[in-house]
Amino acid sequence: MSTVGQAFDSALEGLRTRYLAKLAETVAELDKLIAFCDLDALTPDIAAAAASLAHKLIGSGQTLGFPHVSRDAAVLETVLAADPLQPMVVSKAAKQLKATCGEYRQTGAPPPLPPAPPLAAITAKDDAPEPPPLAGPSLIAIHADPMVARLLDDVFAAHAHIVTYPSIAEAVAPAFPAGLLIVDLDSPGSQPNMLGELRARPGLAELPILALTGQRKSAAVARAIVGTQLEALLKPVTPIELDARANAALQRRRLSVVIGDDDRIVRELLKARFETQGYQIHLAHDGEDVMTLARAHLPSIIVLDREMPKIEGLKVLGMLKADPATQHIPVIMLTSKGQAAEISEGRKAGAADYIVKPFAPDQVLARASQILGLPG
Amino acid sequence: MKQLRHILCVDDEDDIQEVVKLCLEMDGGFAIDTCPGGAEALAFLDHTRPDLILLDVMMPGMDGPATFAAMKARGLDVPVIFMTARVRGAEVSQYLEMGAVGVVPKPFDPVSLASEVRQLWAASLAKTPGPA
Repeated sequence: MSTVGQAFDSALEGLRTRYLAKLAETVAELDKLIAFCDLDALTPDIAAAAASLAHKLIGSGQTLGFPHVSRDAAVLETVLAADPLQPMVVSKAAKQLKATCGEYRQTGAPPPLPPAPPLAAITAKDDAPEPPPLAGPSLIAIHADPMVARLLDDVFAAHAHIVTYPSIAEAVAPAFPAGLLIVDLDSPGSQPNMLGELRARPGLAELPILALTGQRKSAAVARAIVGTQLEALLKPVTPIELDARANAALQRRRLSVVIGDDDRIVRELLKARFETQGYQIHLAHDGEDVMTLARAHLPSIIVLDREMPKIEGLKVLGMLKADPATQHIPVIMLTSKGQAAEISEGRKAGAADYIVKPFAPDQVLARASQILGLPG
Repeated sequence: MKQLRHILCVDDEDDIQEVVKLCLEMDGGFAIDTCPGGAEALAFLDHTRPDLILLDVMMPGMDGPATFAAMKARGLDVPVIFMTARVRGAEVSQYLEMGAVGVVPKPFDPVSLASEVRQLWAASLAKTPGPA
């Protein structure tokens, strides 16, 4: 009886893993819904398709082991049945479901309790707590509009350094890491159809992006932003709203690391250190695992042992840099051989840093923080 | 008592089909066939007669109740259990009034699906004494 039980459990686990992978398609559908809602372009057809998706998720989420998917999909189905439809309410429900799916995909667990309510940077009263710092010292702004300049200044100048480009073509990732990118889609040189290109630019693939536009009900704009993984805000945008949306976008961006070493003790030591800084950890014990995890999770940084089974470290590094999906992820190589020739070989192959064993785990964490532009 | 051996599961969602198949085959020991919709189910029933049908309510094209009605119109009296993500009391009695032997709400617990199906089957036999 127990072997049947085990076979059943592991088969069910297999179905769950596949379902989790398929949630990526669900997220893509939700992105589309959110884009159309935020731009006030929600049509009955899109709403009906979304309602059908929500209904399916209610049935399958909890069945497959993801109860919060069922819960949040039920809310979405309910708001999609409202008459008249309220796009902002639908958008909020869809974002919640999207966050839940994302959280399950990253951690296998439901999301933590919702974060504290956003802070008003402008109308802050004396007893309001300090606004949380942006994760990264700067904000990239793309616009040619003095009104937008003023808005950004109002909201962010007090605690962030703003780097401004007049058009998408001219925008590049700065040498120091940026926390957020805000683009005005109404400025000449920042057409919605250029957003894909913006996303593909090195260094900008992972940034949270907020797009501002005054074009209501434009299906064309909505279609342009689907698939570029950004959020749209309809003008007029109040400072409070911009501050709240920026905070939310930043809070969603969590640090994660893939740690690849065939030595279990090294893995555990590094895991413990990185966890203290709030990183989400993915452990790999051979080169093949590192590639799989890196492609699946697109971590903020990779720590990679030079000497590993299946595929050795330098080769893995080469593969990571050759793959457009992973090439922007900084890699710290660990090696027991400290020769200069070795190290320069690794640097040429694209390693961001080299650390020689034996190392202090603090050292690895400190280098990672430096590379990612984080305090401490 | 008539044995429950062969079950047909009609649902347009792959994931649900797979879970149901897994639960009822591995855990329940039944023989399971699946169909993605009402039309396919009717075609299946033209040549094969399962002991029981698990029928999803919300399906594109021909939904669960429409499929059930079509079955009855053809004189197919295979017992039917509806599966649905909408289980308010009024709807459940509606399905039972149509002649379904029961309703399994979605989401369902994979671990207890097989025994739930058995229970509903046993209850249906108790109501309508058939051949020994």
